[in-house]
Amino acid sequence: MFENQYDVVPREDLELVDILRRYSIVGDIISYRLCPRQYGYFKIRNLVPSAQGQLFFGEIIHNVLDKAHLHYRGNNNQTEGTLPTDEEIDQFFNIVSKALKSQGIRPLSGGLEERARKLIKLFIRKLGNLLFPRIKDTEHKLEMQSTSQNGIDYILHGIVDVLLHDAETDRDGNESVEIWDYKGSRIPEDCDLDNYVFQMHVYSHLFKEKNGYYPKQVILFFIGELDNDGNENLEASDLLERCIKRVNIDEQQIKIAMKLFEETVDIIEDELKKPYSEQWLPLEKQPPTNMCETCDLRWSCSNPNGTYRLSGL
Amino acid sequence: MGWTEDEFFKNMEIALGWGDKSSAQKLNDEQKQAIQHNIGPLWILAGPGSGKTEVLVWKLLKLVLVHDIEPKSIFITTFTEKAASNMLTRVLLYYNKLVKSGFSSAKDIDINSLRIGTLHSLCNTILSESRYENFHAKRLMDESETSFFFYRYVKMCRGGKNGPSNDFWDHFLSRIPYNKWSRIQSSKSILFRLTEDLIDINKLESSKINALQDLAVFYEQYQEILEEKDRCDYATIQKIFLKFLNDSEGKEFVQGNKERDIPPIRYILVDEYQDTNPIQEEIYLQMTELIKSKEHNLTVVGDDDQSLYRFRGATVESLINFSSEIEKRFKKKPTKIQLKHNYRSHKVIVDWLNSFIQNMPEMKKDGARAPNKEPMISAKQFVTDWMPIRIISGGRLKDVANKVANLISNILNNPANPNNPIVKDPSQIAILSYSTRESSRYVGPLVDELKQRNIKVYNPRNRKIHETSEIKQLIGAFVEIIDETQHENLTDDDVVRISNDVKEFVQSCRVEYCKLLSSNVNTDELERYVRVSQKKIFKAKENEKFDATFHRIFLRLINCPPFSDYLSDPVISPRIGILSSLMEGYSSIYQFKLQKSSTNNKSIKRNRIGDFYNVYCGQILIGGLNDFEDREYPIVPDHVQIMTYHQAKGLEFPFVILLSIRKKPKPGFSHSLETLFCPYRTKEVTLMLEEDRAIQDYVRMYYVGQSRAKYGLIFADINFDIWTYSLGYDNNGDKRNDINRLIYNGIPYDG
Repeated sequence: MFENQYDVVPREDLELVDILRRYSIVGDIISYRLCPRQYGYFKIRNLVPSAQGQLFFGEIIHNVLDKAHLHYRGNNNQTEGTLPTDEEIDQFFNIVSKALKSQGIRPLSGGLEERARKLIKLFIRKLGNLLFPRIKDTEHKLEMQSTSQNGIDYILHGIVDVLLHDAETDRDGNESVEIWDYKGSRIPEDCDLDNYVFQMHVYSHLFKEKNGYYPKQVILFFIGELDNDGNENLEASDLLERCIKRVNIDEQQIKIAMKLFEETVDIIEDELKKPYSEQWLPLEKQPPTNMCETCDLRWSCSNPNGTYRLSGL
Repeated sequence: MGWTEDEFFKNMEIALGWGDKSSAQKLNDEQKQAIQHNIGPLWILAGPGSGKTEVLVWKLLKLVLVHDIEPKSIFITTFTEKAASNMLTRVLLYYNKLVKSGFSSAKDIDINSLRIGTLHSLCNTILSESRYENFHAKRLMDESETSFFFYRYVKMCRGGKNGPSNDFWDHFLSRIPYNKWSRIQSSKSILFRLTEDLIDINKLESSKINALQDLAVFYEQYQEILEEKDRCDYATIQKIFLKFLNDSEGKEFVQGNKERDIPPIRYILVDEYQDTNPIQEEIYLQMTELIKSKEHNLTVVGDDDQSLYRFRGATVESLINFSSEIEKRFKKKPTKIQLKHNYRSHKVIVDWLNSFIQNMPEMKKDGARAPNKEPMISAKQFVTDWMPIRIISGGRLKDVANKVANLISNILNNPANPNNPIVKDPSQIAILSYSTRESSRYVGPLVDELKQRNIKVYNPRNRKIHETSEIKQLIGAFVEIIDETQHENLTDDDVVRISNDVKEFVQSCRVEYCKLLSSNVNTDELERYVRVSQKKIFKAKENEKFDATFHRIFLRLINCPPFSDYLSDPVISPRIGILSSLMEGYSSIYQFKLQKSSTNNKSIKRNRIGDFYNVYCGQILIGGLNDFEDREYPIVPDHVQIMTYHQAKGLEFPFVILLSIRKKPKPGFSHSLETLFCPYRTKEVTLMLEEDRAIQDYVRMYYVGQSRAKYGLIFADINFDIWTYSLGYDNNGDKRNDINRLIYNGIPYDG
């Protein structure tokens, strides 16, 4: 059947199209850096974690605040520029909480939803008039294409909670914009804060890539700090100061953050090329204890914080 | 930016390094026309291997670089997520090449913000972004989860007195569904079709036919329960999107809002238009109507001859009748361009394809194909000394398999010149079959023959998940914990009524688990976990609730060796992932924590055990894990690839072997539903006869299979008796008489 001339047929190279992978700072880079094993199994290999209770507080706060922002902006035929009332906030909570439960995200304890409700009401009552008029956008998407040190093309993306207008323009006449990110916790002191700062540096970089200039300020807002006696009586601006951390926009630090980001992309890409059984091994360095304690794979992990022994059920 | 069109073409060619290549590798006139076309509706008919993705990619870049269209103003849909990623990757690649050649600065354009994806994924993103109230935070269910939802909440699939009568089913199906899972499958198909075919439910309700009136009520019950439970399925999300387009949020999305930084949609491009369904067609047309400029910039691309998905509600008629539809809606004619040149296949194969599709009597009927379609022109010159088309038949399936295996071995080893094989790698040979099951009826005998010749085969879709013994061990361990008493064996139990199939399955899982315990594998930790868990149940008080959920127990089990070792196995680990997400979906619908039985001190509540067996195990066993079957697999080097016709869509291989082609087309469930619901559509349509549609669909499927081949196309089955649907007719409309010439006698090459 095949005698001569077969060599005039072009020899095909295997067509393997490399699809650009997408990397987010929180969902990929920080997750991977904290624990490659957890990241690999739950993000890449699609195991589904048993309880997503630790997400509940953060999710409900973000979603309700988003609804409050939209309300202020006049969505759903609201009068533009009005803050939602306590009853309206209750409605937002009911909708969001029901929806989160249908997504499988339930509070770990009964008091959690009430606490979130109390803090959000306080936030809107005390700080709403100060912050909401300045909101430029919420859930603002930032995305860019980049190439890692090893020459791998990828897409870097992130979502900024809130962009705020600033009345003045900067020296170059650029619009002044602040990036705000809400965190559910109190102001932490450990590596959590470092990671938040890392995240904000990456956002600053993304922002500059898109707009040509850095944001004027980058602010982390810790909702948990609202939970103090006496907050009710504080002036709005004092309360604000109590809850926020300003992140330095230092070009050098941002460069370091981006380098770390790229290095991690390369490490993950290398990991993906390893033989299946050698992928996603745990780090020698221990992840934060609270991460291990809620991990569904802690009993078969060679590097847990302490050794976990399975009890029944 | 503002390049002229000429500058664009010139710069692109330089950036892609085409400048010094022969003209054969440049764009042809039709491709160029399709790229150049700017304003108004455009209808691109693109045959196999005609370079349509290339055209779409150039077109996107031209819109951005010549016409200054913001990437976010372009809405592009493809049939699969993978196709979308491929297209975006290519756009970015070309754009980067332009940047690197100094033609553009990367920072000018945010090309990533193109709105590209499947229509479903874009609906999901856009509805979420717009915080559309009717969608906000609804849980979008996948196929399996939808089945669980049907099992628990949907009245239409109930049995006995609580569900529809036999007369009801009789109206829709040729056979009354025989168990709950077959009722679920049928109800899903019927209810989804009502949504996707844009059926007027009021009209259905006022029909004189009882079954249709009942169906309308079932449909409404389904919609209400979806709403109540904050859920959405893949058909309903499109219905919500259509409603969105008619609300202020949807208008803002299409027409933009400067104040809020939302650019308007200006161009809509739809790939694979032959596989859209009526509701999708309506979405595209309504979006086009909303575009502010009134330019009606809708481009559809597709090939009516390659439509494959009627069984999922696709209507090839959307593409065939595109021109008349556009005229009716927008009072203008679309520009029609046919990409005639085939850059993929050997001339003999291209000629064969032309005659196959043109001469089939059912394809000659009015409305079967796009009007005035011209035959393909072979654009690549391959010189080969073998017949690019061969036919293998005779004897039993085993004999056919033997001959096919000999031929594959020849292609791989090229005995005439072993140092220069015909293909570089076995993965350049694909076997397409109606089913990929390695049973004696399908690819089984061929796989055996290939293995005997040391030829490796990649057939990831072969074994079903429930046939994997590792998976059975895992489920076996699980049921040992929750049901030590083995309820599936209690015949007099009227709480836990389990179907025989499921009973057998659960039993076989227990057996696999026992076998594992008695093997040499170390199972100490596993046994201990199972024992301690059983003890916890035993010691608990009546009705006591545990913290544990099914999903949690499942995850703990996979921490025990040998299950934890399976996690690093490339075949088993993805299956454990599927079971885990299935478990999460199941738990989200059957929400509860484990509770001790009040009558049996070694068991949790019996009805929950029953639910678990019937619903979760039933889904694995009978419901079919479509997600799993549908999953896209990579082409694995060093292996001959086996896949179905549908899975081969969009791919190409140097050599293609078509197996099990002796099917006699007859109308199926989807054809009869289409006919049945036709009078109730909100938009009037005329359908062809069911028999014709059935044959046309088969012919299109074979056409897709045949057109994957570059240099070699091989047909194989036991005999010729009903081959006309796969081999076709000659130009005079007679059975092909050139077939004997193409027969391969099957002897191994003897030098």
